[in-house]
Amino acid sequence: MPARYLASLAFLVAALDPTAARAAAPALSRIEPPGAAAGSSIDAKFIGTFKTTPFRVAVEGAGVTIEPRGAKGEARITVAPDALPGSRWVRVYDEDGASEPRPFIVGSLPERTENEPNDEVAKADPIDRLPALVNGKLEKSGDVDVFAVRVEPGRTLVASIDAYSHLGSPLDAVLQIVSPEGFVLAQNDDHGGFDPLVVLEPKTSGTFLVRIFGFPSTADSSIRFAGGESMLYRLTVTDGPCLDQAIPARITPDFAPVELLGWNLTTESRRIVPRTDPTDEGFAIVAHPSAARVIRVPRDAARVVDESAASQPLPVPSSLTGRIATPGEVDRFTMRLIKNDRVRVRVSAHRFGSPVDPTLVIRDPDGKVVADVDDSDRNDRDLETVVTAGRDGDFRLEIADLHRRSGPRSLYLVDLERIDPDFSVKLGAHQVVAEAGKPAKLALEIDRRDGFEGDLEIRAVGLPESITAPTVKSAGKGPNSKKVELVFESKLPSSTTVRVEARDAKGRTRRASTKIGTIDRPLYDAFLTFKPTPPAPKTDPKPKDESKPKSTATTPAPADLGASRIGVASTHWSFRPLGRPTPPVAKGRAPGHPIDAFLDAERDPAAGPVAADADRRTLIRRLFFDIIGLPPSTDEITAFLVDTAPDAYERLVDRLLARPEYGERWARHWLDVVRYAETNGYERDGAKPGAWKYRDRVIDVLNRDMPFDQFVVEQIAGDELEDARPETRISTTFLRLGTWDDEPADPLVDRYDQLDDVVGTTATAFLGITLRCARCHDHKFEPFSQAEYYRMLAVFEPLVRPQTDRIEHQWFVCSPDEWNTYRSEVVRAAGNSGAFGSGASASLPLIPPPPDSAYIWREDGGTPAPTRIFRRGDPTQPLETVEPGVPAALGLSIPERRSMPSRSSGRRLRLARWIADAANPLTPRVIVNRLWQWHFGTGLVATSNDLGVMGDAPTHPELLDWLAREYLERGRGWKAIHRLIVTSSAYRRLGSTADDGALAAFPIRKLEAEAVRDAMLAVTGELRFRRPGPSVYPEMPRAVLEGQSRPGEGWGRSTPADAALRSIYIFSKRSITLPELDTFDTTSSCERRPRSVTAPGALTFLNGEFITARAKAFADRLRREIPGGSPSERVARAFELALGRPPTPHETTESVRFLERQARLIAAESRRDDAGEAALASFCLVLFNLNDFVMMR
Amino acid sequence: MDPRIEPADSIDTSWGSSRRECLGRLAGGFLGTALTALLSGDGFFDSPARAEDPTLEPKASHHPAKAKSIIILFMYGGPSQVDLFDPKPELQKRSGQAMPASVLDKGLQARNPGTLLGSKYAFRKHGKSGVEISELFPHLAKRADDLAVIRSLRADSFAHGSGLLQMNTGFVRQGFPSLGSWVAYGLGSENRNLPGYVVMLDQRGGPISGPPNWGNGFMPATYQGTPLRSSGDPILHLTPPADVSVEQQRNQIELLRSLSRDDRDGALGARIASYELAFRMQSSAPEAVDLSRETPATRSLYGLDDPRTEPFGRRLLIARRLVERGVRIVQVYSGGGHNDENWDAHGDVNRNHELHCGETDRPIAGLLADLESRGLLDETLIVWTGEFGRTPTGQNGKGRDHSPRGFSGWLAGGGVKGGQAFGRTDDFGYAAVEDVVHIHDLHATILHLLGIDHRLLTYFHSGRDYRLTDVSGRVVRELIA
Repeated sequence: MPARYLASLAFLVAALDPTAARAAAPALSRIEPPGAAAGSSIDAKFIGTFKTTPFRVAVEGAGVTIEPRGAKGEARITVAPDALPGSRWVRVYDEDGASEPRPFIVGSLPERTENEPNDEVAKADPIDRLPALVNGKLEKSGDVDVFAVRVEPGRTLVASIDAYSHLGSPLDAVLQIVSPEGFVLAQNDDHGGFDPLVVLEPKTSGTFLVRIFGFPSTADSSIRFAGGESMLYRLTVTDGPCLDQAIPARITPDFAPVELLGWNLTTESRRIVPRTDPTDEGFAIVAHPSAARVIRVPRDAARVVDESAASQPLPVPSSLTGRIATPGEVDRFTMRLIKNDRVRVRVSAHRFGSPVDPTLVIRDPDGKVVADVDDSDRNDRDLETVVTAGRDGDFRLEIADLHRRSGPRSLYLVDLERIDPDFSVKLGAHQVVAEAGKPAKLALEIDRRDGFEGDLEIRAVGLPESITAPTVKSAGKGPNSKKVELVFESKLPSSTTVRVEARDAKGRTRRASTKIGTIDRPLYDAFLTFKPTPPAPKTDPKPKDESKPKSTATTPAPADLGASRIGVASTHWSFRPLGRPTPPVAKGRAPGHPIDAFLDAERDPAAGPVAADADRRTLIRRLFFDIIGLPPSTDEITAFLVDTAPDAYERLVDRLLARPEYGERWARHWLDVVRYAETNGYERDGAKPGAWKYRDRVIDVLNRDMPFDQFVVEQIAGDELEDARPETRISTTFLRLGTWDDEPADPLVDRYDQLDDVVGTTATAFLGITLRCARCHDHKFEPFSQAEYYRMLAVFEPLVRPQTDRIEHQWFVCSPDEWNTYRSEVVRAAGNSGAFGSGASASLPLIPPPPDSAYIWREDGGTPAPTRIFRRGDPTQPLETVEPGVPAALGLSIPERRSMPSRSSGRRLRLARWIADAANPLTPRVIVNRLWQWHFGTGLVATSNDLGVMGDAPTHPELLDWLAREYLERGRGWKAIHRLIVTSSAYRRLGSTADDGALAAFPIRKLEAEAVRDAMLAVTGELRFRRPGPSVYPEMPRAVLEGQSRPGEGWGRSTPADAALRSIYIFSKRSITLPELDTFDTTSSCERRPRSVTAPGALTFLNGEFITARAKAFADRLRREIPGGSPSERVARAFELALGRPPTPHETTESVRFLERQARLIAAESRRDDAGEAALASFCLVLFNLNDFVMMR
Repeated sequence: MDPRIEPADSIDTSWGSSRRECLGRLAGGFLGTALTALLSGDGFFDSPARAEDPTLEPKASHHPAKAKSIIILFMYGGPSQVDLFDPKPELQKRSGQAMPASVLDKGLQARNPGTLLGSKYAFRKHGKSGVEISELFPHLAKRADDLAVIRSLRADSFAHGSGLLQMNTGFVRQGFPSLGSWVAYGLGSENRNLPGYVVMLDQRGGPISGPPNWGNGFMPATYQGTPLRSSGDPILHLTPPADVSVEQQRNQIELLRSLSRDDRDGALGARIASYELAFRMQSSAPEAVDLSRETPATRSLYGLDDPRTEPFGRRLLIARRLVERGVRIVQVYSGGGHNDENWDAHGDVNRNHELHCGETDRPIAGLLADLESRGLLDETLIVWTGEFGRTPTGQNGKGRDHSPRGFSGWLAGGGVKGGQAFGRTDDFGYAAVEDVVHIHDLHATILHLLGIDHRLLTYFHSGRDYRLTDVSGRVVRELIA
């Protein structure tokens, strides 16, 4: 407790000192603008608290003259034409002391100031001439600054920010280059520190937007976009020469020219002689009057070695600049050591902006690893280590990049130095204030490294004669070894700067310095003030200062963030209203299909011609698999081949879309999106009773081509509709499909995990946004605040999961009236029979059958519990209450509550109507993008669950918007969009596995697991068609069941007929899956199926029970249909049935030869008389494994 | 890489002698040439990896790996730390008294208000290092200097389901890739004839939750664990149906190749290549699980001569054979099914642990000794844990309840600084109080030993990069040699 005691004592003394309040030193919070070009003269404003007019200014460093002018901090700043680019320290002072120094930066480019407001693309601040340096500020919480620049082709655009490490702004800035459409083309948030740098090589000339926003440099739980009066930055933008790194990265004091890396460099800006900075010990400045950016290079007397000379052992001490030129490169050097030598090895890169994250391994002469170092600590990617030689010999250094990255910019600097006991001195304060005639004490801290125990002499230099300061000594051991005080005296009031030096017995001199905030330039000048002796107080001084604001720094208001991030939101393409693009018309060509018009306009003519149209057999097979998930029968193929009418294809499309199998096929796609499965996962993986009713509802909705927005509303709030019906209530099963732990470690956390699942799935499925990140903090990249997450959660807060302990219940889907009737009848019947349970059997017929139920949540009415924001998502740490609502970024408001027919809160219905609102641009874009993905394998936006800032940009934005418009205008059914897509030429081309993204050919891909299984059953003739009802259980191999903790549990047994139903009707269990589906990447939740190719998968398709049985059934069918046929006839029929085409002569020959050879072999092995039949089954199995069978071509 | 022909009577499978010979010939003959042609040069394995075509091609580690393979010994059910690795004199002294309120937290109070239950078993210092191990592990105790015992493990869940998931995937929620999937994704596989990630379950059944424990979560199926049985068909569908000979299957594959002769590019060629691989696996997988050529001494080392230790010993011996053949990750379960079929000692901890320790002690010690004698211990990381530990208080008198706040596990082998007990629980062995090693930290350390920086191994899913260690995890340097 002594420290605390002393602190409170100090406070007490300060409070008792009658002069303390009156004698406050001036405070300088910043200078605006915080810099100016060499050779310019500007009007600046000093912001802070100063008593004197005009105020007085002290500058550390040459070439900058400041003339204070007015009472409000106005000043004229003149920078000499030959002023060295870089930082100066500036303080304001008066007779009571000096302010903490603030930086002022001399630049090498013409400068200007940002023009607010420039938060949005439409209001971008134009930068007319490059290169440019803009002094700007993120002036309020949530501020986004946008600048527009024009770039000509062949130029490289470089933009960089100075904020954190040169200006001390508490800002972790993000810098983006954005296309006018809102696509982020380049982004960076850290470049050798918190300050970002981005580079763009535009393919075409045009206007680009440079966008800046940021986070607080000290991360907090809110992670909101930072802003405030102190958030100054300097933005450099150039398409001309720009400096990046210097070779060597450390120079000797002789100032030979350095080679420069950078962008758009000219011969003259490629080699520059560094200039010394007399006020910045140990560094030199590299700058060029026509090049952007200034490089600060460390300079010392150690020998600098060229990388090419590194075949020899490196001397110690020395410095070497190396490069990781090729991926995975390991650079090896040696250093010759004598036993017991101690050498410090430092490898740096990140700190001067190189992309290298260095790693270092040191081996002794025997090859044994004596050091293996990555980062020095979690905030420093560069590294440092000390080796002690265990023996004489050559020690090897191996330097590499942790991420195996490489390139011309991948420089690193190795410094070797002998461990030499040394020292440095730190100023204990940037200033000392005392009364004239009294001693002023400057505390100094001495850092003695590597066992330095020598005596030091410490003295002040540069003092005027009126001020004295006796030299003090610091002995190697004892009380003053680490701390000493220099005592200054002056009889007269005065102000001055002073430097302090320490010298050891060898004559080595070190200058005392200190660090100010996060700024990476040290301060050397301490400031001394001797105040006039105050007159004795006559009366009680009035504490004037109490009325003043305590701090000039603006505390950001706890704003509600989503809205304030609209600067980003409004510029992001997917949040903008739908465009009304018209299909481009190519000159000299008749207008074709609109989809082709969009695709052709974007296609690179140099990429060669598009693929030819697919033949009719390929096309009908593709269309069948795509639309109904089954292969065409031979009759259907024949009918199509002979249909010569011009609209034969269109009529085929219509016929397929009208078939009930369409819904079975496309429902499966939707079930992937909504994480459909019929069990809960976790320990017991218990069943979700009646979940299949939702699956059947989806099939029905799609087959009836119900407007999909209506189904969107149903899934979220089918129970709250004015015309709620049992089937609309079933649709809300959507909300309850997530995994659920029936024995949660923490029930409270579990409750919010459940709601998180609902919020998150609703956001991704319908809106294509990733809202779940905002559960614990404001979304770091998307314009969603934590409050907005909880507002959305509040929509679902009234939901209750019908359950009794671990047992889950369905809930009634009848109307409340029906429910009440049923209940009263049950009560009456119970009353008639006396009671439930005793003699009730006689009265059972009186009890009506219970109304239908489904696997849905329920709402119990009443006032819902308030929803609170949870600190870091932890429900035990509730913060303020929020009302239900929707993300503000979309700029739409939630519809008014209408009268409710149920006891429900109506919250979900309002959310659902907002999602389905015609003005919501995300919903239609998300839906048509998914449909495109399911037809072509990849969406126009490849990340179909994420159309946010972090998602992929659309490859064809106009086409996407055009399709979304068509969707809205054609009644919002899926079938109209299917028709549009499959009638395009792009869809009807020959296939290729080389997907170029431009659809020059139809992208060939593996069919989904379900389609492959269904196709086999269809080809054998076994496939059975649907009756509605619970799911079925085809036979699961025993080996799969053995892996369960209770083998066989939760897996039923279906009749063979039921087991031959389409795969969508198979019970979807989270913990086990039929192997023929599993190895083909079936899943219960994903935006896009992965397509694994694995050897275990191939085994299942060679040896599995399912495929073996299908091959046999197929052989039976062939024999049945062609009794007594020749092998070639059977082969031909098998190809027609399985692949929809006759075999080629090569295929016939090979297949027939196989049948004969296989039959001979089987006969020889087993003496079976049905060897021919077995051979046919063996052949059928091969057909099922062909790419032609399992790939959509 | 070169599967040998084994004597026909060597293993108890449905493979007849003629078939076996045939297979052997195949491996050297047809497949030798076909695969060499297919896999070399610009064939399947050299095609660039895309997210859509996930491969198991070997990948470079982030830093030099200390261990090439990992064998995870999973004591399903939750072994009791105070009876095995964490001696507590204070617990012995105050056995029968109530747990001091200062140690308890709400979780325990709600679940199990029993009184302190001292361990029946004596602890002794073993080896040069003097690591204390209970008398329940007499054989393992002789390897004390190999073990880095962690006495301060911490998990987040009290329940088996979520506890297993967390130890296996880092998350208590379902849907995340398992540790083995992360390693397979990060490092690929060294052996193309065997799965890169193999799981061997207890003969009494799998752990609860089943396959998600070795699942690929949101990653492609390429990275999921392959269950391998120690008797019968080792891999699902490895053997052709009874009436199909390997010769017949060879004909089928040849026909498949012949009919697919135009399918050379990308996805189409890769599919055909996967059949060749499957075919090779048919010979290499049985060979890998075939213990007939192991010497009697080796078999005895693993306890194959004792019916009690035989099942687990067989799995460990197979694990060694897999590691020798370049399989990257092998997970072996001790305990399956329910109640006392695994380490879940609610009823009588002594009876339960005497059973399970008795089944596993000799095989585990044998595995360590065998790996060492073959020079494999330096490059094989062994991890021993359960999903959590057990309470120092009694349940139903002689049993112990689940306890995730502080429990024991150990590491040995590649890169591990053996002969130490790291971390500390409170005086009763209930909660870790010093050098706490959360599961994320354990995972970070395991990945580090395998050459992976847990912060850099990420998979983009649902709008962000995911990690095995979520946003946490610390490499426990003290455990590393």
